[in-house]
Amino acid sequence: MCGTAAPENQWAYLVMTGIMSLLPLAMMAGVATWIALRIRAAAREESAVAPASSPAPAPEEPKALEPSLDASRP
Amino acid sequence: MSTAAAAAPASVPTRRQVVPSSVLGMLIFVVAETMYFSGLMSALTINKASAAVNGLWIATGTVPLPVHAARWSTGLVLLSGVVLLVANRAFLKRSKATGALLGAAWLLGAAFLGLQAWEWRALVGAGLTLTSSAQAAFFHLIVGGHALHAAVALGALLLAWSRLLKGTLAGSFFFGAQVFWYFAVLMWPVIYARVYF
Repeated sequence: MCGTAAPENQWAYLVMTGIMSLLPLAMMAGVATWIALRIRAAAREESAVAPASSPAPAPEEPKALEPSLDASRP
Repeated sequence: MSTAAAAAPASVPTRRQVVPSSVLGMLIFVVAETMYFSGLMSALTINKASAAVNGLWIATGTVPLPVHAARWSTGLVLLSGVVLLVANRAFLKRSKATGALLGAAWLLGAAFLGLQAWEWRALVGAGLTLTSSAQAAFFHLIVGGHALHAAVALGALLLAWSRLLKGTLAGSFFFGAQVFWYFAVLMWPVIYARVYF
């Protein structure tokens, strides 16, 4: 398409082809970078809030069904 | 059964939302809309450059575009964006000035849109319509498209303002509306530079 342009407007075709190709990539890279920075900042906040000395809570044991509920089953 | 179902969520680690869904959705929408305006701007640039070849850009006898009035519009919309940024900082600090600042940003945006409407009315009255020339067609299409986006963004900001006054404004909605308005604000200087000159 750029090759078929007249010499007077060939620059416009070339410049706009470059912009239209690079702009979406730049915007997507910008959004991805911003999200990555937000995730990193949130992780830093969480590690600062959680006290280093306190042990992690133990996983809960699965509770047995209550007798009344168990009895209601057929 | 109900006891087991109630106990299940406690063992699942809670995931914090880093970016509100409304902001992420609005960002994707803004990227798409930026490409819409870029496509129009690309067509305008190539048509304008081709005027040297075919001479079909400005028809003889058409009224010139109101560059000075548009300069005022540019000042108003940029100021509105700055005031909205300040309103956002006040909102994050839970300041009582948020309502006044958000109202000022909205009024400045509404003044921008009002000036645009007045400018359009004058131009159409002077005979500059979509079919007058290639320049007029691009002017109405791009500036009209931007005005439509600005009107929707102002509607969202008005809703945010009313919710703020009622005390029911959610941060995610406010941030999403802000992203849309910043898009309208930042797109305008590019349109002004490309369409009016």
